[in-house]
Amino acid sequence: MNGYAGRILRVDLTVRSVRPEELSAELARGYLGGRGFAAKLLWDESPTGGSPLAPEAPVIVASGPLSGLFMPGSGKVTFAAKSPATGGYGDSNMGGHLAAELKFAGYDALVITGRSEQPVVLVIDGGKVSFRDGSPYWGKGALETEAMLKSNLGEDFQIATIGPAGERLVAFACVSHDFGRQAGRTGIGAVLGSKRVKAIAVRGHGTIPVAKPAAFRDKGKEMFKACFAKPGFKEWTPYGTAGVTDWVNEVGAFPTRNFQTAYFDGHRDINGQTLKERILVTDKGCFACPTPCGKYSRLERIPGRAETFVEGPEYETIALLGGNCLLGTIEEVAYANYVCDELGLDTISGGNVVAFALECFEQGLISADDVGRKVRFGDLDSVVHLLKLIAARRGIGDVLARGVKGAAEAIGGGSEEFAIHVKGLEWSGYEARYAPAMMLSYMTADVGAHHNRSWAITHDVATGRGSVEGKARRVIELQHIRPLFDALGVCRLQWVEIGFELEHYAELFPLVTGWDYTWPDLLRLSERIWNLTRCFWLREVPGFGRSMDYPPGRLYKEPVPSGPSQGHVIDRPRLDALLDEYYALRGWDANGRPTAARLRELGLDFVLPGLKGKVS
Amino acid sequence: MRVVLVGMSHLARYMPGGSPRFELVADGPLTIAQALDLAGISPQLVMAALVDGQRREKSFCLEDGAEVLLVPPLAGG
Repeated sequence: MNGYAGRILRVDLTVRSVRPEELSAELARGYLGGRGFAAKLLWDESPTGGSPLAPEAPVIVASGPLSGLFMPGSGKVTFAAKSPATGGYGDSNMGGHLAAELKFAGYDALVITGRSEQPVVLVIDGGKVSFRDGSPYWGKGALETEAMLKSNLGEDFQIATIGPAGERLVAFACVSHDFGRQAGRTGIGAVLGSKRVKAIAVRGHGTIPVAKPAAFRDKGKEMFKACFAKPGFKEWTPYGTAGVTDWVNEVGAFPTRNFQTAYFDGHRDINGQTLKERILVTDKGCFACPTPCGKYSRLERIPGRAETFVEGPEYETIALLGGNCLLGTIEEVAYANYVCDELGLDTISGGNVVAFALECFEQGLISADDVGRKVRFGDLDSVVHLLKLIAARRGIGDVLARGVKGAAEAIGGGSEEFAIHVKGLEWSGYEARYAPAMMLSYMTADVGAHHNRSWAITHDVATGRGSVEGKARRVIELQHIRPLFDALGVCRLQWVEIGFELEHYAELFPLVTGWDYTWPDLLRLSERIWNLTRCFWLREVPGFGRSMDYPPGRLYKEPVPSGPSQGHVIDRPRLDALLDEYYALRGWDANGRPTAARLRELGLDFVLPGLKGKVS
Repeated sequence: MRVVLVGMSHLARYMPGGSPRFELVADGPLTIAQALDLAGISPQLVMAALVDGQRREKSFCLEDGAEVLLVPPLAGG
C-alpha cells in the first residue's frame, strides 16, 4: 500500500515472540494511521474492563501514511494505551525520528502485549527483531539510558526509553526519545514499565512506496519552500512555543500557583526571549522539520547544581513548572524540566501534581512528616524534592504518583476542588475561566484535559470571551482538524504557527496514497476516530458520561482573583450550556453518549454490541 | 493615508470580511494600534506586527502605503 510500510509488528513479551503481519487495507483506509490505528486496535484488542497495567493490555506505537516522507514535519509517531492516569483512551504523540525509522525498518505500527520476566530492550533492526537484557539500564534515567544505548547499539538507532517513574508505574510517566522529545501525556511510560520494557530501539534502511513519486517529490519541495517563505517563519523559529508566554499572561490565561490565578508577575523572566538570551545553545528539530521548535539549552548558573543540558523548556513546561509552581527564573524552570526528563515524568502533569502538593501543604492537608521537609511555592528545591519522591514512590510520593485526581481522593479535605484535571488527566497550559471555547476544549478532549485537540483561545478573544453561545462549533471543527495530523503522522505546528495552508496536505495525500480522498473525506475519518475514542471511554469506564466532562470546582466556582481575567468565571449553568450545544452538534445524547444512529452514520456499527445498554 | 493589514495563520479568519488582507484608508498619522482599532481587530489577537519584515511595537507610526503583517499568538504545542 502506498504511503505505508505495509506491516504491523506484534510483540508478545511474555513468551518473547514477534509476528509481523500484513497491514490490512481496511484499517489503513478507514483509520489512516497514528491515533486512528491506536483507536481501532485498542477498541478491538483491549480486554474490556481490564487493568491498563495488566500484561494483556496492549501498547500501540503507530506512524501515519505521511510519516517519514519528504515533506515538512513528517516525524510524528503516536504512543497509545488504555491510560493508567484515566482508565480511558490514552494517546500521546511524539516528534523526533522514531516514526520515520520505524517505517524504514518495515513497520507502520507495533502492538506490544505481555510482560517480560526481566527488564528488556526491544531491538528492531530492519527485519531482525531481538530482545536484549534491559537490566543494565533499569533504574537509570531516561536520557542516560538513551545515551548508553546509542553507545552500545550505534548512533543510527532511534531509541525510545522510560525513566524510573515508568518503571515504578507512576500514572503520568512518559516515553522519552531523542534526548528531549516525549510522548508525555496519559501515562504510556507506566504501561511500558508494567511490561518491563525499558527501551525500544529501531534502525531501518528500507523505503516507503508512494503512488506518484515525481509529483510527490515536486509537491514536497514546494511545501518546504512555502514554509520558509511564510512571514511568520522568522517570528516562530527563534523562540518556539515559549514565544507565547507573554501573550498568555496578557490575556490572563497563564496557570499560576496551582491555577489559583491566571497571571504571573514574573512571566518575562521565564519567557522565550529570556530563554534565548540566557540558556539557548541551539535550535533542535525533528525529522524533516523546517521550523525547529526544540530549544537545546545549557544550565550553568544555578547555585549548587552541576552544569547540565536540556531540550527546552517549551511553553507547556514554562506554564506548569514555571507559573504554576512559581519558579521565577528560566534556569530554574529548565532545571525542573531536566529532572522530569531524566525521571521520565510528563512535565505538564508533573507541574500540576507538584503545585497541587504545595497547596495541600499550605493548607495543612499534608505535613512536613509526610513530605520529609517543608515545601513551598517558588522554591526549586521543593519542586525537585517532590518530583523525586514521586518517581521513587516514596512517602507522599506514592500518593502523588496517582496524579491529582487519585491523590485528592486519598488526601481528601476538599482537595478535589483544586485538583486540576478532567477525567483524571492534568490540565495543560491555558487557564480557561475567561475563555469558554478553550474551557470546552479541555472538558471534551478525548484524553482528558489536554490542549492539543482544540486550541480555541484565540476564538474566544476574537468572538467574545464573555459569551458561551456558538463556541461549540469551532471546538468541534478544531477537534477534527488537529487530531487528523496525529492520524497522518505529521506535525501540525507548521499549520498552527506559521499559517501553512491545509490545502497543501489535501493536495499531497492522494499523491502519496493514490486514494482519491478529499480534505472533507479526511475530516470525516477524523470525526469517526473521535467518536470511536468516546466509545472506548464509554465501554471501559463505569458510569462514563456527562459527569466526567466537567472541570474541578476551582475552575467554575472561584472567579479569577487577579490579572487581566480578574473577576471572571464560567459558572455551572454556562458550562452546561456549552456541553448542551456541543453534544447536540455531535449527535450525542444529553449525557454525552454517541447515539446508535450517529455511530452507524460514521461506519462504527461494530461498536454497538460492545456498548449494549449504554447507547440508545 | 492607506495601509494594508494582513492577518497571518488563524488570524486570517477573524479579519474584517473574513479575508486575510484588509485595506484601511484613514487620516494620518497612524500607529499600528490605531490601525487595528479602526479596522476593528482586537489587539489581543496580534502577538507581533511586522512592517517591512521588522518586528514593530504597536505604538509604531506607519507610513503611507505600509503593509503590516499581523502574527497571531502561537499555540503552545
